[in-house]
Amino acid sequence: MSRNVDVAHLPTYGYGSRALTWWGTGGMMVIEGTVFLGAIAAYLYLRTRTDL
Amino acid sequence: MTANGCEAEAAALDRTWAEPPGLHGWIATIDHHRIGRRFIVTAFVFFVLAGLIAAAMRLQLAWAENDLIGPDLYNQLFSMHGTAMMFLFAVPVMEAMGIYLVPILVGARAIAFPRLNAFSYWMLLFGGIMLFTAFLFDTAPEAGWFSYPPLASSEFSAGKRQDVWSQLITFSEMSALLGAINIIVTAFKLRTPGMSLGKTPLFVWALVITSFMILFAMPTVMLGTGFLLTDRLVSTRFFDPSHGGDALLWQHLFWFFGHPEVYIIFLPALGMISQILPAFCRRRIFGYFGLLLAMGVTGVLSFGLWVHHMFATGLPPIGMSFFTAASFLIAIPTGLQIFCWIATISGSGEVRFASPMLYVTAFFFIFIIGGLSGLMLGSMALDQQLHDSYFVVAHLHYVLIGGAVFPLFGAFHYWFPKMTGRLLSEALARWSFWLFFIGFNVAFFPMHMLGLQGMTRRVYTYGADAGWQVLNQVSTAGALLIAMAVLLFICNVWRSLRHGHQAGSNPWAASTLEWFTPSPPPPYSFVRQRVVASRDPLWDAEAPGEVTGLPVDVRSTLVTHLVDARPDHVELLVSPSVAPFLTALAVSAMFIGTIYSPWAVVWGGVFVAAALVYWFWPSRKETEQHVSHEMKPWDDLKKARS
Repeated sequence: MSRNVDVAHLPTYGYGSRALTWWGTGGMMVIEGTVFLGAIAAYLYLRTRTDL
Repeated sequence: MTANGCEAEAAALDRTWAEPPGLHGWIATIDHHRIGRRFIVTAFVFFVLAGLIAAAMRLQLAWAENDLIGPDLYNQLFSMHGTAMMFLFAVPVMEAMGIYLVPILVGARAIAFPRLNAFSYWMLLFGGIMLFTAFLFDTAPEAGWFSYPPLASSEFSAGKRQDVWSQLITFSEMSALLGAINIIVTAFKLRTPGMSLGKTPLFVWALVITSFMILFAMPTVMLGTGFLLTDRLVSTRFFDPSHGGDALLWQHLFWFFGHPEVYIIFLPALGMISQILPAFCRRRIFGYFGLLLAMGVTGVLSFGLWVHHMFATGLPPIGMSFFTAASFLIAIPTGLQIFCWIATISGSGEVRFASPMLYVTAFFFIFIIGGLSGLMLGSMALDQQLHDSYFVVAHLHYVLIGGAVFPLFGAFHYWFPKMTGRLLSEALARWSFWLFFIGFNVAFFPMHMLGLQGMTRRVYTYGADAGWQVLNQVSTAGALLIAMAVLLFICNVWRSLRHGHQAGSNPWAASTLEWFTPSPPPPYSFVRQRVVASRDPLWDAEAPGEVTGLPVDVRSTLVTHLVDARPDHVELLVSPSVAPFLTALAVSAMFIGTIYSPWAVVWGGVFVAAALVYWFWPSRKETEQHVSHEMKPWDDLKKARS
């Protein structure tokens, strides 16, 4: 059932996963992590294809 | 709330959310409605330009041994067409729809990171301008939209053409990646109270799944284009087999991104269909969780299919069999979704075939043909024969235009009244739909036959004795019909913006929250955010509840918990700024500089750093305002204890 919600008492920031920036930073880490994983995969791929 | 109280709050919000006037305001805006609209229009302009390029190619191919366009220009044309359609139109326009719609669909006042959103837009715009400027100066890419080395290496493509392509990818992927983060955080944390994950509209889910796919797929193509650029610029040898590199590495990196890319374009379209169908069938969507799971499974599976683009490269048969099987597997979630939609339609007593619904119906027809030819290509034995033929061109256009562009046009017609406050002319919309539908099939169906007859893609002409002229002429006629359809659509938009009927807030009597706001929505979308009790809050017997107590004298929106959307805290938002524009200029200068010299990274980095410092430099006024509203997390606890 719908009801009204009063949020006047709520804080204006939160820590950890409550904060938007936590999620934004996490997203950036996923992007960078995927780049590094790709680079490692590319290295391993080239190693298997090359006679050392 | 009394009417007077509501008006006073709306007036205060109008003042708080007002954008600066004039050119400064145009550049500094961080309003997701304005940026979303701009994003859509920009992507649509690129669609029209890439479409005109396609029309030029079709004219060239209409006659055997035609000399309208020479081979060098033709190489640039097909590369420009594919690149612009995929990187400047298809992905951006889907994200743009998300940027405009996701915040209002989840009932938030703003997008999670408004300045990042503006930056994302400027990057796409500057990237597109760079590509088309390069085209004017005869420096457009020439190795196709997937730019395989060694063809794309400096040995076979001298000059700067492929470097421009590489950096265009960097521009557009950066824009898409940042947009993806914005959409995920908005959908996860800014949903209005009551909108638990299970009550979130399917379009929002589609965009969330798409955004996760972007996060995991697009970095690999940026890595790949980075390798390609360094191969060309500073003589690294990533793709050169004579020095320990491997040309196939490119194909792996590209298609690990490239196959999910197809679904990145396709999934938002599925979400659009799931929004449009209930509104025109007058019933709730059938199989909400089935549709949701099917989209999720499609997203995951799409990462395991990339090698089916590489069946002709001589990979080990066991690997190819695996990817054939995985490619067939995708038919299961897709089929499930189509059955859910058919159930929604068939369970409805009254289906309204207005223009958005027509486009959705056309999707079923075209996409199923495209899906079936996809199964044919997924079979390794047949793919060996059809690889690089016009059959592939036909298949990919059936899938992408049928699967994404038709639902997208449906979505344009569906949400146009919300975005502009005006109704499109239904008569013109129907004309343009039928021209598009007929033109599309006339243009692309003959390509299946041309492919089976042996016509390879990307040839600038063919011999008169090949016997392909008639089918090519039919195809060109179809392309011209599509051009007329798009022109008619543009005329319809132009006319409706001036003389269209006022739409009102909910012209389709639809069920989701975006139809609760005025059309077009004010910058803050909702005077009071709503509290929802179901997936279709506007169809509930009781009107959605209200969120009270959000400040009206500072930009803010409510942050809620991830799963159940309980109110958590009030996020005080940033104000408009030119910093995203300036930073995008600095980053663009750096990217374009790297086409010519590796030192651009160093010197460009200085400007980028300076722009970022300006971006993050705190404004005294804004800080004071935020401090005056500050409520610490423990204040809340103290209050509760007392």
